[in-house]
Amino acid sequence: MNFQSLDYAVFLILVFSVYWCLGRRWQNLLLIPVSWVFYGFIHPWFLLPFLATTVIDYFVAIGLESPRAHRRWLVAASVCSNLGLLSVFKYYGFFVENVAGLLDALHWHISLPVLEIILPAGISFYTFQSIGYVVDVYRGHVRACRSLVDYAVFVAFFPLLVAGPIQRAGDFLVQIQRPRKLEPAQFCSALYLLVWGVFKKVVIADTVAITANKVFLAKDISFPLLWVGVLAFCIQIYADFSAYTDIARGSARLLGFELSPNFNHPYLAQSPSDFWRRWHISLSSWIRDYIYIPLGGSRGTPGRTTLNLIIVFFLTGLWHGASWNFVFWGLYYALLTLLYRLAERLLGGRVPDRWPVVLARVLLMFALTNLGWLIFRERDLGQLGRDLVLSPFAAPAMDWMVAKYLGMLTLIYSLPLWLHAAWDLKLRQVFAERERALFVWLNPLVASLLFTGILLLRSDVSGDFIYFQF
Amino acid sequence: MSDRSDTQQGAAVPTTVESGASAEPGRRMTWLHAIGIAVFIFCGPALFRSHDLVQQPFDNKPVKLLQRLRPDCVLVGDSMLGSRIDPVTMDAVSGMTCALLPYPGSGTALWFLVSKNVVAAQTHPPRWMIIFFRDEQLTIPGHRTGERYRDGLEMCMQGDEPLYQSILAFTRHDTEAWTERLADDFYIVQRKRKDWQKKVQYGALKAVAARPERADVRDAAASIFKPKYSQAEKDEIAARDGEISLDLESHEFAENVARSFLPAILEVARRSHIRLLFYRVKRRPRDSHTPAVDKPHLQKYAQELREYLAARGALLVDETTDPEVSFAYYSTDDHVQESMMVPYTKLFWSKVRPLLESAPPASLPP
Repeated sequence: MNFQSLDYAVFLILVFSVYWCLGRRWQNLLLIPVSWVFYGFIHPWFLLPFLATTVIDYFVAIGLESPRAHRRWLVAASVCSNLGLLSVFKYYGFFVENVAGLLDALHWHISLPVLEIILPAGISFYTFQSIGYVVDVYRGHVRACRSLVDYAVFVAFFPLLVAGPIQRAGDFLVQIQRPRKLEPAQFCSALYLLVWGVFKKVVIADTVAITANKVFLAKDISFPLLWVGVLAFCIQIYADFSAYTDIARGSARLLGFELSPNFNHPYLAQSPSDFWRRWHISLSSWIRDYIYIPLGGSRGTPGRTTLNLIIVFFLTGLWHGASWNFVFWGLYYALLTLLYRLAERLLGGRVPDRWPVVLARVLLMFALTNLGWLIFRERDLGQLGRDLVLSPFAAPAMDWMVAKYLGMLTLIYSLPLWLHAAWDLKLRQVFAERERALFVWLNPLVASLLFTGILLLRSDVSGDFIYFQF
Repeated sequence: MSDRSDTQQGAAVPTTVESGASAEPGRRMTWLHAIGIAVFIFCGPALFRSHDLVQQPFDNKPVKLLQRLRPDCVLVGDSMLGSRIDPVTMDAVSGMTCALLPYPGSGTALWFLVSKNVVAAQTHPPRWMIIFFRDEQLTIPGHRTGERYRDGLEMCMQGDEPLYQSILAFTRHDTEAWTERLADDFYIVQRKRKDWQKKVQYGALKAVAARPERADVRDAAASIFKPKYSQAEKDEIAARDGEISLDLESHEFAENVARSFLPAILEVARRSHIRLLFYRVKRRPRDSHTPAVDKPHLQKYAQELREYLAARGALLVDETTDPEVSFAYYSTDDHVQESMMVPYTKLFWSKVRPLLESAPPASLPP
């Protein structure tokens, strides 16, 4: 069931109506079958690995609180079972392909078993969420959940099941265990999030996707057309993923839950580390807390820190998909982060913090982010190599004109994103005094305009959310 | 709605910019306010209900053409007509004044509107109307009535067209999810979607190209980015546009005729004393050697159609198995090659003429 479909709207209204007629325990009980129906809608057998994760981690966490438990072994068992599922479903094909390639290169012709399996949607999200819970229990940050129903809701909650945001037990499990209530203001803000999310998906992401998809399908494309396609993809992936997050958060808010945010205007980042503090926040903070800091973070020698960064970004890239371009994309960010750190050390705070400098930093980072998206989007490494050596001078004049036209179209469709950023970062402060009054009429007005935009400007074809594949 | 404030907020941090800001109005906000806001957001766009605001104006050109020509015979159809009949040859061989109204990408819904609002609306209606069709097209009312065809249909409508709407409603009930029908009827404004998309595209073009260059840029962009949909996307678009198979084995004439536009077309013709002839064109043969054979279910369909039309004073010509309409006439699909239009028109007339000449005059109004 797609978030942007009418089916989902009906589903949400029905769940909402029944949900608020029930007490907390019954609400949680309702959320389990409802989430399974939502998830099983995609493919019924997807439920199997998902149920395995739920049951194993529920019992492991309880076992961790037992005084005689071999705690390390239990954590290892949980992590291995989750990563095992992930490896089989997501990385096995990639592994076999590369090992076979390597053996071929060594003239050892051995046929390895190939598994033709579909990647269960959201497996990277719920396994990470479940691992996070077990590690938090191990560290004593949260108590093990004694109710299988509550824990099943924690893993299965339908708004975040397929593409996150990855929740922490300390935040989300606590909400599941507490009674919930819905305030009128909360109801309205949920509606705003839902409308804004659907607008971003069907108007912005799906429309600019047409340009991006064509460019990346085409062979022998010229320099200006390639980069306008990259720009379109840059807008598409942000609009698409943040749309999913907004719809997830809006849906959860309607049911009395607050999910952690995932984005903070990532294209206004001034450095790679800043970008990762703003992009897919739930994943980057998960990796920071459960991988980077346990590895030693930035506290060790420069060599050790460099190694930690490389490991972390390698895993971040690999998390996105079993393909070398994702690995290179992760390593590209490792390289950028190291270069920025070096530059900071060399310049040592001699660069003034005035707005032209900030603007230049933002623009530079935006350009580098686009280069990153080219690596991310182009799965054919040979084509990527050809793309990177394209000359702007070899392009025909008409291609430049077409690129300008498509670039303008992309900018027009992405205008609401930039206006939203401007409002959030500057105008909100300007209107701070009047904001209370503004909230009364501005939010409904904007939401109504966005909803009208959905009716009038949505794309003819709406694809799945990009992050479903991860 | 704000990323930034949400970031500061988080799920586990209750004191936040957004919750702080909304907490104040939240105190004042009651459920009545909240429901009012929800109604405002979701029902506001539904207020644009006037068809005048969203419906294309009626295209008067075909009416004027018929007024000027005062034809004896009008031929209506989709590209099957446009690619087959040469108007000059038709006039010459028939010795009558003939008017061709080919509407590429049209179906029975549009032919009904044309027969009612263009042909029958004449002060001097023609004696004959010939409608070109394929296979089971006459009893598939939803064919080519989707979003893509909406503008063309609206340009043939006079006002709300309740009969047209009621016939289509049956089909939509069978083919569209109830949620889609509900949304489509509630938000009439979304019927202007294509116009708005074009406005945005043109706005972008205007911003980057001077007037003389615009057409070239648009054509270049179209050629580079010519839509190539996946099969799933094609199916989705086709289903939405009402593009469906015209020779479904399960499609029964008797079951579907009452809910189709055929009775309405016959009624329009009867009231205006226009004789109707339906011309079933032959689909492109597989090759030049294999003789054309009509599928059994289509044979049955054609037989039932013939009987139905005969009982209502209309005629049917079926060229499906006619060996004279050979492979050589065709282009790469069901269309006839441009160079073969003249011979085809002569062949067409040779088949139709005996029927027109022997047919009794249309009944007089009661």
